[in-house]
Parts: sequence; structure tokens; C-alpha cells
Amino acid sequence: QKKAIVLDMSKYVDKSVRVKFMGGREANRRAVVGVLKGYDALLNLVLDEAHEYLKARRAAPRPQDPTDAYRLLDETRPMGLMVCRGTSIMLVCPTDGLEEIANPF
Amino acid sequence: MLPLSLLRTATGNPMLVELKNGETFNGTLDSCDNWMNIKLKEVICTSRDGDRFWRLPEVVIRGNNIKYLRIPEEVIDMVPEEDLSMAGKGKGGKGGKGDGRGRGGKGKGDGKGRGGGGRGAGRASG
Repeated sequence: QKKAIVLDMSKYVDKSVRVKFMGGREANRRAVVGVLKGYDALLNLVLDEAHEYLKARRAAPRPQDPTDAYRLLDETRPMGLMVCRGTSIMLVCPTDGLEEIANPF
Repeated sequence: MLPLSLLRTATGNPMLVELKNGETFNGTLDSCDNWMNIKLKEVICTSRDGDRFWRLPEVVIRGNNIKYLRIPEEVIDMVPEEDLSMAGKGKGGKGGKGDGRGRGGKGKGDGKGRGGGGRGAGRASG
């Protein structure tokens, strides 16, 4: 399968990225945050110092609490060094600048 | 009007992307590729139930997870004319499958038509 991802991951190398996967157990959207160590054309990723975010926080967001924005998700578990399979990756974004906000619409 | 040429033309424009899981992303299209993998900048992510929001500086979305994209109306007027012919030619090798099928279909159609004519003529003469 020839698959050249035009979008370059090079700018994320050695940066902390958040990776969301398709599926996941209990239909919870599963995400991993780790330092991107490498990648290939199939979007397989190597993450180091990875943490898995098991479940989205259920409590309603409280925008008036300034610390609340940083508690995006709970129940993390350390995953160490991992290879993320490209075909099950849904989304990649840098963790730098990620914040929960109040309804902007 | 090919979906991907429209999408390529929409580069730099704001758009809304909904994923198969129901999450939506409002942002400016930075780049896209032939698999509809896209990179958005200045993104606001909305949860599936629409009650949580996140701001992200940029995000890469795998094309196979996209349900749809909503693109500003004016973009359709910006799609270059030659882009369509270019897309067909450019894909030549790659879109070979698609082109092959198209031609095959036409070929068959013509063949039948001619075949029928031939038979008809044959009967008339015989």
C-alpha cells in the first residue's frame, strides 16, 4: 500500500503530542500524550514517555475555575515507549496550546 | 468539480470538519493530501454532545475519520477550470483504476451498439 502522507510530522518531533485513536474499549475515546520520537509515511508514530488517557472526564466543565482548563481528562496510566499504529490513529495535535474553553459560539 | 480539488482550493479558508465519532473541528485549512488527511490551524474542537470546547493551535486529522467538511460557499467559484482536466491527467497513473473503469464502460456500450448493428445488417443481407 503506497501511502505518502503529505502532512509532515517533522515539526512535531521531540515535541509533546496528543494522539487520538479510533474505537477503544467501552466506546470511550482513547487518547495518548507523549513525546514524538519518530514517524513513517503510514503515520505510524513512535511516542516516548507516553501516558494513556483512559476516559473523558464526566463532570461538567467549570470555566470560572482557572485550574479546571488543565484537567482535560482523568485516569491516566503510563505507557512508556510505544509505537502507535497509523491505521487506528484518528487525530494528532501538539499538546502545547491545547486548552479547554467556554462555549465560543 | 472533484471533492479533493474543491478541498485543495479551500486551503487557507475557515471550515468545519465533522468526524465519524461526532466531534467537530472549526479551523482554517492549512493543507490536505490525496487521502483527505488535513491539517487545520487555529482550531476549536467541539465534543460529540456539543457541550465541551477546546482550543488547539493546530491539528492533523486522518482523512478516513472524516464524515464531512463544510466549506465557505465562495470557494466553489475559486476552483480553477484547468484543475479538473489536470486532475484527470495528473491522476493518469494513479487514478488509472478509475479511468480504466470509465473507459471500459463506454467501450462496452459502444461495442454492444455496434454488435447489434452488425447483427441487424447481417440478417437484412441474409
